[in-house]
Amino acid sequence: MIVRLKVNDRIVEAEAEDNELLLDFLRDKLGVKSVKAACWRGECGACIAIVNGKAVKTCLMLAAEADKAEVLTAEGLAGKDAISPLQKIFVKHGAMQCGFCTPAFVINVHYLLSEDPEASEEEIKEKLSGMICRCGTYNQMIPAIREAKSLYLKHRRNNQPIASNIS
Amino acid sequence: MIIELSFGSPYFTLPKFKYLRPKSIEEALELLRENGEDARVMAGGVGLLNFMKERLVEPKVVIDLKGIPELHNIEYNGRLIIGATVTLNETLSFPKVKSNYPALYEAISMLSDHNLRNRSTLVGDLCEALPWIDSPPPLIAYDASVNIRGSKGSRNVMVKDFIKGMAQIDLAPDEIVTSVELPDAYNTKGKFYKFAKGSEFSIASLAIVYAPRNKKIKFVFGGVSELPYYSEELSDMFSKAYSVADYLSSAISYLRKNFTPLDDSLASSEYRLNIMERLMVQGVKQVVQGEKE
Repeated sequence: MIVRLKVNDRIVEAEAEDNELLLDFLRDKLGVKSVKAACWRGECGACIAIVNGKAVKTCLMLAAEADKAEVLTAEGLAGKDAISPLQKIFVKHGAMQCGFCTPAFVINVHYLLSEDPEASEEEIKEKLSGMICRCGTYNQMIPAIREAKSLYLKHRRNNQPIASNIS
Repeated sequence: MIIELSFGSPYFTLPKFKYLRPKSIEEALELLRENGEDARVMAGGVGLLNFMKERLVEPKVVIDLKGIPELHNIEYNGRLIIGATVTLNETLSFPKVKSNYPALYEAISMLSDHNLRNRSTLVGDLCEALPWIDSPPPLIAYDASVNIRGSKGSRNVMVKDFIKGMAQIDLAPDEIVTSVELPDAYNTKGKFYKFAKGSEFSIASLAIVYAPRNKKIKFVFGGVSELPYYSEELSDMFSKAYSVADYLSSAISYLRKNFTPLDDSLASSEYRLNIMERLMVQGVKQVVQGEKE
């Protein structure tokens, strides 16, 4: 079937098999490589993308289900040639090592803070519990998320979007 | 030895099937009638897609219910009704769930993780009927039932009767569960306890619902046997007991005498029994006597 969807503000369409995972569709058919394939069974969270406003694991979703959906990945969070403020904060705090899981963490943190910038640290930790960073940079992520929180709160107060293409 | 775990191995891909997305319950039932045993119904998909990757199920047709607006509905009118495609996070953010059904709220918030809860559904979890998934115990404690639609009409089954065994439910191939329904739980106190490694599957869990007015208490254990474990006698003993301490000691000896939990790789039977005791003592102290955590 033809799947037509909006990925990072770009409307695209491609042929998808009925049994094709959204993860494979994004990577292989649309070239969106920031969603990573690792465990393929919903345990590691490296494939997280925001689909219709909710951060989901794309390895447990069919491409066919994403027809007419809006998908946001780390590529969309960054502008054309710059990286987003959230990514800058991650870099500043060294909240990564090999970088494999980082796009997923960035997009999930973006989703959590956009939804509720006032969430407590404990809540955010709990909500990130479905993700694995095998380099173990969790400790660096905590101060990064703390700083990002104040940024997202400020943006919410001023009612301005955090990235150009995100409402 | 070469371990074959490469891209394209069955582990990473889904078997071939036809994806169908009906727009109404009638259309979905029609598709089920046409395809019979070859079809599988999908709500959130988290469980089904994983089972398919492992080749535990290989349906020729997958019927996605998410296109049916009627099933994506959660409402409270004295009774709480949760539709088949309402996700766990949507259930959690429905205010009445937290205020009136705290044991259910707590159980769901401890299920899997936030991202999976954006996809998986309460009805889907229930239909999987796996002992380490904790949604049935609070549902049974709240006397919940499921609404079923089939080609022969609709019926309503109590959750405790709906789950018949490990991965076995009271559902014909031409039927779908449209919603789960909970009666009013006004004036009750509820709590849910889970004993597990991190957010992993439960070794033992306990849902308690207590109605102080008529001194009625319900315990439903999860993860300790193929079916959720509860006992009318265990509940009846409460209203007859002289004191809470008296009740606990007789309840524990009853449990030891009448119940043998699962013995598997997660925990031994004796270990589970000890955990069950502790959860019960903690639960009674907190829910009945109002002790702080």
